[in-house]
Amino acid sequence: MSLMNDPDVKRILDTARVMTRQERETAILQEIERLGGQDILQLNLQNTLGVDDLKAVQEDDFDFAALLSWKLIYSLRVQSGILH
Amino acid sequence: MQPIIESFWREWLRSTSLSGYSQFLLDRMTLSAGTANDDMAPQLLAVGPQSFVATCFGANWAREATIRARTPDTRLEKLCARGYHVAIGGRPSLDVVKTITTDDDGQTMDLLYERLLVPIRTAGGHLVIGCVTAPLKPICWLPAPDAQDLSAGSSKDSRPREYDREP
Repeated sequence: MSLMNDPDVKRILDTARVMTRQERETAILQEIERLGGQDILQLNLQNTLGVDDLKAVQEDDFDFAALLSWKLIYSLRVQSGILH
Repeated sequence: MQPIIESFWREWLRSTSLSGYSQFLLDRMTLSAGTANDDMAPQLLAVGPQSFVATCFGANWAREATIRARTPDTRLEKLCARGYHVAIGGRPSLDVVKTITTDDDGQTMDLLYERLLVPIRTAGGHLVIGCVTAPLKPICWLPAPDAQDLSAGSSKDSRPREYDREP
């Protein structure tokens, strides 16, 4: 399945269109912290973009990093018993 | 036991959380969720760029793996689910898998590998399943026509041979 057909991906990108990068970063980091997922997000950013945190992501890569972060948040929410 | 699997086992014994693992192993490890439906492997949470699965399915797939959350081969994930459920239950699982699988581009490969799955706690307290896989022979890429024939005829033999035991 194409990534663009994934309902989660569509929802994430629709929301992203009305927010600034700083607002998106803040929303992601708050949610990751609430779910205790900092180390898994850091590992993902290292694996895919070679950076340690969201603030260090290049502008061109930020949409990808945000998508990755929100998919991770959704997975952690499910694992925590929180539906999204 | 393959050396990288033994290293992973030793680091698991002495690590209390994800932060305790060496970068060498983190680059070769996959992390999956600590929950899954009965007949499926759990969703992927991270894929090391030098993990065996990244080698098999390619760098582009590996980069998007956390977003996709699955490998391109649902059948293989079902066949390999049992070891994950052992690890979700809190015990390590070591097994040898022989299978044929296909990547996103339709390229078919014949694989034989050793796999260690272990339960790991993240700093936030989540249970995740760490996996390190070591090939027991080089990836055997199958030519397309033969691959189709082999895939069609291999349904009985392509089940992973899983030997759940503590290393």
